[in-house]
Amino acid sequence: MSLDELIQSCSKGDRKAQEQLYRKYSDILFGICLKYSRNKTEAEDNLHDSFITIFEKIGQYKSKGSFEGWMKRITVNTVLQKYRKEEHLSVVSENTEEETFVESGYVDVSLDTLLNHIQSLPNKYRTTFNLYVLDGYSHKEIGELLGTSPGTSKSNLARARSILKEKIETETTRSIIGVLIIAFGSMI
Amino acid sequence: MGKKNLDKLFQEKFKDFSEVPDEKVWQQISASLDKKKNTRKIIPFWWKLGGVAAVLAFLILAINPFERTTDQQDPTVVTDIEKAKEKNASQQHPTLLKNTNATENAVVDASKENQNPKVISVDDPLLKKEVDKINPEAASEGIAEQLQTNPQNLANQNTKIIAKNNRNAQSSKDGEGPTRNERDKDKAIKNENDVLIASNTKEKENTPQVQHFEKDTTGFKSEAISANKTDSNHDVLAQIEEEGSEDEKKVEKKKSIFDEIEGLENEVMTEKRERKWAVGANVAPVYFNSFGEGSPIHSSFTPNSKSGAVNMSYGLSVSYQINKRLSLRSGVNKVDYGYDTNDVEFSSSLASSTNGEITNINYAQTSENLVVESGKSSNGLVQKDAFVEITRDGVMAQQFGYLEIPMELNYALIDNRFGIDLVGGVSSLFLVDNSVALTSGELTTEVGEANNLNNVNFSTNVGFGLNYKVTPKIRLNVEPVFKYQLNTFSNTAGDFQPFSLGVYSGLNFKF
Repeated sequence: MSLDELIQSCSKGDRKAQEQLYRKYSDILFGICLKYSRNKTEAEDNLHDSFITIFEKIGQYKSKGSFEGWMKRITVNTVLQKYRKEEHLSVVSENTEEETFVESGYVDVSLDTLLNHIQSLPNKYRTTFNLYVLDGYSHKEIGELLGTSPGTSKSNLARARSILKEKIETETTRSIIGVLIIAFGSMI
Repeated sequence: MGKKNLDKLFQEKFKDFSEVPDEKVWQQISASLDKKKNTRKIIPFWWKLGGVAAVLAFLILAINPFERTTDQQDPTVVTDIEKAKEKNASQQHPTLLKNTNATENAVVDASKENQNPKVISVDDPLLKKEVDKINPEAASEGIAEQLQTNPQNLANQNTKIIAKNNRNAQSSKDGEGPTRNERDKDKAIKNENDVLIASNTKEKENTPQVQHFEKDTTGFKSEAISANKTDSNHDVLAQIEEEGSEDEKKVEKKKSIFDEIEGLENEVMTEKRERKWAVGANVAPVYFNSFGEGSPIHSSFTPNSKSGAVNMSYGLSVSYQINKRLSLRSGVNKVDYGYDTNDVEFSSSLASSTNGEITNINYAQTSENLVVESGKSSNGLVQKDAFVEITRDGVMAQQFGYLEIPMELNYALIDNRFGIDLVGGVSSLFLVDNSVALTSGELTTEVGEANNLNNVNFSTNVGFGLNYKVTPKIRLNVEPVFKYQLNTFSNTAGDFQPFSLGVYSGLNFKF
């Protein structure tokens, strides 16, 4: 079954086609959900809500642009909508868009650790960091999506970076101490 | 210790990041889709119900079956009551007889004398006249006349009556048929009664009822008389006297029953005169706006100011008066709602089809290249993209039209020539128009239609009505009504709780 046929069948409510579509794209969309959510359980909830919206609106997809991109947008929107209510108005701080560097020279931080760090960020920082850094949205677009100004988005990103940096460096320091303890222990 | 760009670190790690979700997620999605299917089935049901309600309302208007039914039922009701009362009366009759039989002679004598004051007075023509004046009842005159034509020994009457009663009781058990003489007497009594009725027409207003009653009691008399085989004329006369006195009582009783019936009839008449149904036409300027700061179109418009638009609503209403103060109202209204999102910027862009589209809008073919953005949220800080050529500032107007079927209760606080009502109820709204347009100066561009508007939604209505009765049939109304929309949008950005405020004015005709 081609993608167009699959979309057609899904729009008619064909459950088998819907399942096929789910199997095909659920891992990519779940990746998005994991990045944008606070934990795995919430990510599963958000994936659920996203697919429900996708199946509801699949009839409106007009074969313009990539279907995967359309689904990703819906997923991101669904997750953002969920956390938007929890957002607080943040004060626009001065532009801190310069690049942030971390001391991660020799400890290769695992994906899971990074994901944990992202998930532990407050909603507004997590979403801004994801949108800007991982998904390539501009501050203007982020402002539109989150209902804030691009200035706020910039300041949120700076704060997110700073928290993440701190977390990674703490992790690195902890690892160094661990290595040192082991080395010291073996010497004794 | 090389410094590594944080962004790059994350980008590298999360490039093509994906993870297979737990199997239970699909099961939950599948279950939710099943649920959605079921709720979808309910919507057409509401459509149908709304349609049926409207059709019924119009049918009731056109045919007006209730008015006719009351016309047909009225006589039946009265007859029923009459029959019932007669039954009661005839049931009381034997009881009276039995009671009389059971009591001692002396008591019976006294009671007979009490019951027949006119019997004693008839000897004196002057007194008789007086009695007639005081109690102009058919039965009393009948007895008087009978006594005049058959002068009897009054002293013996009571004993005869008792004897007669006893015999009546026995003979009714025997169940023997009447003799010829007795039948003749029956006829005579009937004739007398007829004459009496004729003579009393002046005094009786409800002659047919009395006539009916007279026939009835005559029937009873003949039955009683037929049971008696061996009695002489005196006996018969005595019986007639007794019956007469009982008739008198019955007539008195009957009179009150008739009064009651008459009263009932009058009530029915007044109720009938009270018009229960009313039909009206109304028109209203309707102001639509929302509580909360959100935007039903897109989250980027949340900070934009929104101004409610004033549109018109017009329709027909049907109301039914439940009781003096309470009435139920329905009808059909065509209503347009609209509001404007201010300070939007829009431009034509080739890239719009991929990233500039607002997901809550189904774009019209002519406006697929339109990019609409909030002038507020960008704050002028971000430079326009290279592909954006000319940007126009303007207003985005969202319009939606509904067919509204209200179901409201009116409670009359004041119900005089000038009245005040409290109005409360719900409305079912069926979406018929839906558009989003952009206006910049004098230019207007149709964008498309919103896809997050529910086809069917409901509102709760509260208001009060001022009315003035021009005539008992025609009433002028002015009703400010606040309607809180319950589920206009399937998803909105932020807190968008729409409401409408309309001042409905119109004319009502009672019939």
